Amino acid sequence: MLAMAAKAIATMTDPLRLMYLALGVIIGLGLGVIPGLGGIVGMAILLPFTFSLDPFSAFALLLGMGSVTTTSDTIPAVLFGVPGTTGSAATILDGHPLAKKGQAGRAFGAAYSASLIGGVFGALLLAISIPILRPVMLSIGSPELLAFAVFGLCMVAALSAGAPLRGLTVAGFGIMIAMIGADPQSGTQRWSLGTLYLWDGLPLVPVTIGLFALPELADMAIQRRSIAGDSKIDSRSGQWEGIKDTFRHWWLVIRVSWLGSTLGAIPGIGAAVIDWIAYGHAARTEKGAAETFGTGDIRGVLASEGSNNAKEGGALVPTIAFGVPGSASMAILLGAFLVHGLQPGPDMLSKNLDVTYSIIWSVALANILGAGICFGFSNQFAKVALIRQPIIMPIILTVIMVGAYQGSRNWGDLITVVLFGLLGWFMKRLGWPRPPLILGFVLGAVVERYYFISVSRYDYGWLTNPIVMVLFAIALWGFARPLIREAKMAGGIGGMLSGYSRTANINMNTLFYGAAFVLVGVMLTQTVLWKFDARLVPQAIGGISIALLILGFINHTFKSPGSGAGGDDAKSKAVASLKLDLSADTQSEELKITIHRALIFLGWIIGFLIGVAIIGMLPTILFFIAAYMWVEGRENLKLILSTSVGITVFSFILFDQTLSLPWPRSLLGNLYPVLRDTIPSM
Amino acid sequence: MSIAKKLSVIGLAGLAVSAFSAAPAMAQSVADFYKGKTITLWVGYSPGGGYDTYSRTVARYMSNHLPGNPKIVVKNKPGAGSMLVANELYNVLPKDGTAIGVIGRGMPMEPLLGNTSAKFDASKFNWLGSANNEVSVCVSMKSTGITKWQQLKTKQMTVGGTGPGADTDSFPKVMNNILGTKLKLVTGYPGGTDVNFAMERGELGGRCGYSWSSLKSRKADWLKNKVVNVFMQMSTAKHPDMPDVPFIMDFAPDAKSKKVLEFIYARQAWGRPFLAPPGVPADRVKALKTAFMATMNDPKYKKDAIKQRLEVAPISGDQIDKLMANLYASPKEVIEAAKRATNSADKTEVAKAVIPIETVKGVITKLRNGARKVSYKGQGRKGSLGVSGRRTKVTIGGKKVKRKKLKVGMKCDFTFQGSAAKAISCG
Repeated sequence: MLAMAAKAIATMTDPLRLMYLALGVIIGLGLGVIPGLGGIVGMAILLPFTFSLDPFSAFALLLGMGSVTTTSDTIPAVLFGVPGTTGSAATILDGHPLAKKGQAGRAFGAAYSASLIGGVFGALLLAISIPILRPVMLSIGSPELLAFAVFGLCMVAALSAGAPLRGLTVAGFGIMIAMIGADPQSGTQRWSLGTLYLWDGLPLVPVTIGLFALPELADMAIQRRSIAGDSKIDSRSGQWEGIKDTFRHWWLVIRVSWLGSTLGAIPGIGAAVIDWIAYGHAARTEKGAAETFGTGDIRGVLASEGSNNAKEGGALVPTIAFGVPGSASMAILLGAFLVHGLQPGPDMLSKNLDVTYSIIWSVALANILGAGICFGFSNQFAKVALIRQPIIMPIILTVIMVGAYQGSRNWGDLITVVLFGLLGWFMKRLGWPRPPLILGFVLGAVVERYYFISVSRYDYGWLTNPIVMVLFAIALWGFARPLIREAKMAGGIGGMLSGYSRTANINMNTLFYGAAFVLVGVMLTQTVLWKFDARLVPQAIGGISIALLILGFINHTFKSPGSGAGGDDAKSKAVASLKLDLSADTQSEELKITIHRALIFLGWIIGFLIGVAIIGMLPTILFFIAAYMWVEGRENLKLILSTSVGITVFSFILFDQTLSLPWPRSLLGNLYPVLRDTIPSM
Repeated sequence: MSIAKKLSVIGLAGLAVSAFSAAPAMAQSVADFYKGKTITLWVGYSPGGGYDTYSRTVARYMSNHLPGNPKIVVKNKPGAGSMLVANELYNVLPKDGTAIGVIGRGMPMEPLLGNTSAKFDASKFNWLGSANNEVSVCVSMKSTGITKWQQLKTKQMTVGGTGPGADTDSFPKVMNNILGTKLKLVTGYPGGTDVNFAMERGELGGRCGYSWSSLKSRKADWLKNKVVNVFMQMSTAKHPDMPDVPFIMDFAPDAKSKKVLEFIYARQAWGRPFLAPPGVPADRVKALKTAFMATMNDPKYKKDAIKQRLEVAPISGDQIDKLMANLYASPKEVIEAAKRATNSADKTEVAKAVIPIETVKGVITKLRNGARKVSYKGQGRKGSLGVSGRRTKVTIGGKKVKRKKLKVGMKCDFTFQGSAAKAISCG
C-alpha cells in the first residue's frame, strides 16, 4: 500500500500533470468566488476536455478545480457577507464582522490556513482509511443515515445564539419548507402552489443567498459605509496574525477537519450543513464562545473553513468505494471514471489503487496550491473592504442576483432570493437565529426520506442498532442540554413559569410572531387532504412549530425582558450587537431612518427585477449599476461608465458565452424576438 | 427630441423589425436560415446525468450534419422531471428550428395518464429521433437466491425505488400486478446509485427498473463477478446482449395484459428522445431529422459515445412518430389498466375481487341494527354478515322480502363473500 502511495506521488509530480492541477486550481478559485457557481458547474464544463487526457491528469484537472472552490469562497463571505458557495455560509457569521473591524486580512489568513489543513487532513484521512473503507461504509444503512441527519439537526440548539426556543421554531420552519414539492413516498405535491418551479422543491442556492447575503447588503446600504468603515486595513500583518490564530487553535482545526471529512463521507448530509455543524460544535465546546461567537471571533472562521475543505476528501469515499456520489459534483466525477475505464468499487481499492492514491494526492496538492495562491492575492482583496458603498453595492447585488438564478435557472429563483432576503433581514434585526433554518431545510428532507425507508424496510427494529442508538442519544442530549440550562438559570420549572406580567409588551417582534403563526397555520391547513405518508412529517413538525410559536409569543409578550428564562430578546446577541434594533419600542428617529433606507434598498432590488422582466438581465445589469452609482453616490461619469460596462461584459462572457446560461425571457424580447438575436439575455 | 417622441420612434422601429422578421421564412433555404445562427438544445435535467451526457455528446457533432452548420449549445433547465422543458418547447420556445430539446422518456405518457400539469400533446411534437433504444432490467443480489422470476410468485424480495413515477417504482408494480410476483417496494431513495448502495449492504434484495446500458457501463463488475442475477428484461423488443434473459412480453397472461405492457414499455423504444416543437417549418424538421440520424452514424460521434460508455442504438424520428401515434390511439381501458398497473402497490384489489362466494346452512343467532347485521351459526361455523338493502337478496319461503322480516332462530341458507351477505334464503 505504501509503495502504491509513493508511486502515485511520483506520478503526480510529473510537470505536465502539475500543470493541469494548477489550471484546475485557478479555475476552481475563480468559480468559488462567484456566488452560485461552484464545482458542479466547473466539472460539467471541464469533463469533455478530460477525455483525451490520461486518467491521472484528468483527475488532477477535475479535482484540482473541485477541491479549492471552498478555499476562495471565503473571500466574498468575509468581505460582503455573501457566501461564495453554499459551504461557506457559516464563515459569514464571524468573518464578516472581522472585515467590518478592518481585520479582513486576519480572517483571510486564518481561513486559508484552516482550509489548507482541513483539505490535506481530509485527503490523508481518506488515504489511511483505505483498507477499512468498504466494511465501514457497508455498516451504514438507511437507519444510520437517518441517525446522522438527526445528529446534525441537534446542532440547532448550539446555533441559536442564546435563543433556543426561537432556534427550534426556525428549524421547524426550515424542515417544513424542505417538504415543498413532490413527496418521495406518494408523489403528492406539497405546497407547490401549482407552479412547476416548486415541483422538485425549493433550490438551496437562492435560499442561502437570500437568507444570509441580502440582509448583510441591506444593512451595509442602511449604514451607508464601506465595509470596513473608517477602520484601518490590516492586510499583510493581519494575514500573519490569522495564520498564527490557526496554530493557536490547532486542536479546534483538527477537530472540525475530522468532523468535516467524516460527515462528507455520509451521502445526503451535504456541503451546505457541514460548515454549520462544525460551527455549532465550536460554539458549544470552545471557551467563552457563547459571548464572542457571531461578533468576529476568529475561531468561528476556523471552524467553518477547516470543515468545508475537509469534506471533499470525505465525499470521495462513497464515490470511489461504491460509485455513490458523496456530493453533487462527485456525480459528474463518476462520468470521468467511466470515460477512463475505471469502475468505482472494490477494484479502486486494490487493482487501481494507484489511481485512487493519485486522486488523494491531487486533493491534497490542490489545497496547498489553492491556499498559496489565495495568500498571494489577499492583500488586494482585503482592500476591497475600503471601496465606497455606492460602487461596490450594485456590483455585488447584480452578481448575487445572477448567482441566485443559477439555482434552477428559473424566474422563481429571483423571487425566492428576494423573499428569503426579506425574511432573513427581519430575522437578523429581530434577533431570530438564521442558521437553524438551513439546517432544517437540508436535513429535514433527509430525515423524512430515511425514516420512511427504514420503517418500510425494517419496521421499528432498526431503533436498536448500536450506531443509531448512540447518535440518537447524542442528539437528544444536544437538544435537551440548552433547555435544561435555561430552566436552571431561571430557577427551575417554577422560575420559568413566573415572572409574567399583565402588561403586554408589544413591538415589531409581536407582529413577526403573528405573521409566522398565520403562515405556519395556513401551511398546516393545506396538509389536511394529503395522503398519510405525505402529511405525517409536515403535520408533526408544523404542530410542534405552532406550539413553540405560542410559547415564544407568550414569553415575549408577557414577560419583562429582565426576568430570566424565555426572554429570548434579552439574550439574543444578534439584537444586542445591532445599534438599530427594530424591536425597540420607541419610534426613535434612528428607527425611522432605518426603515426609510431599508425601503429604498428594497426599491432598488424590485427595480432590478422589473428591469429583468422588461429588458432582460444583461441590459438591466448595465443600467442598474450605472443608475445606482449615480443616484446613491454621484460618482463621476467615467467611473460609472467603465464599471457598468465592465461588469456587463464580464457577465456576458462568463454566463452567456462560457456557461450558456438560459436567461430569463424578457417582455421586450417576447414582443420583438429579433431583439433577442441581437441583444443577449433579452 | 422629447421622450415621448423617442419612445414612439423606438416603437415604430420595433414594429418594422417584427414585421420584417415575421414575413420572410418562405423563400429561405434551410442552409440560409441556419447560417450563422445558434440552435439551443434544451435539456430538462441538471448537468451530469444520462440525458445530459447524451445531449452534450450529440451537440458536439450534430452541427456538421446540418445545412448552414449552426452552432449548437446545450442549456440545462431542470424542473419537474423535464416537464418544464416539455411544456416550454410546446408552448413558449421559438418554433423556427432554433430550439430543440431532450426530455424524459416517460414524459410523452403524462398527458395520457391524466397529468393536467403536462401542457402538451406528445403526438404533435416533431420527434427528431432517439440516441438509444433502452431496455430496462430487473436484478436480484446473488445472496437472495432468486434466479428466476417465477420464484418471486411465492417468495418475497425487497426492491428499491427512487419515488413515485420513476421506472424503479412503476416496473415492480407492473410485475406484481400483471405477473403476480411478490416484490416489496421500498421507495424514497435519492437516486439510482443510492439504491445500488443499499443493495450492496444487504438492505435491498434487488432493483427492478434499471437501464441495461447503465448497468453494463456503471456496474460491469457486478455482471462480471455475478454479484447480481438479471432475471427479467422489459421493453418492446429483446436486447441483443441478452438472448437468454426472460422477456416480459412473453409472459403476458392474456391479450389485454399484453396491450397494457406494450403501452407501458413503449417509452423504452425512445429511450433518449430528441425533439423539436410543433409548428417548425417542415423543411427544417426534415433537415434536423436527417442530421440527427447522420450524427448517430458519424464515426466520431460513435467513438466519443463509446468512450463515455454510452450505448449507441438509435431509432429515427419517423419511427418515434409512428410509435407515438399508436400510443395516443390506445383505447381508454388500456390506458386505465396501465395506470392501475403502474400505481397500485400489489394485487390487493384484484385479490379482493376473487374472495370466494360461500354458502352455509344454519340458523340466525342474533340481529342488530334493524337486521343490517346478521349473526349465524351452522355447519360448524359462525359469523356475522352485513346485509345490504340493495345487494343482498333476502327471501323467506322463496318470496323476496325486506331484511326486517328476518327473525332470530330462522333456518336459512347464507350465501356470502367475505363478510358481505349476497343472499339469505330462509325456509
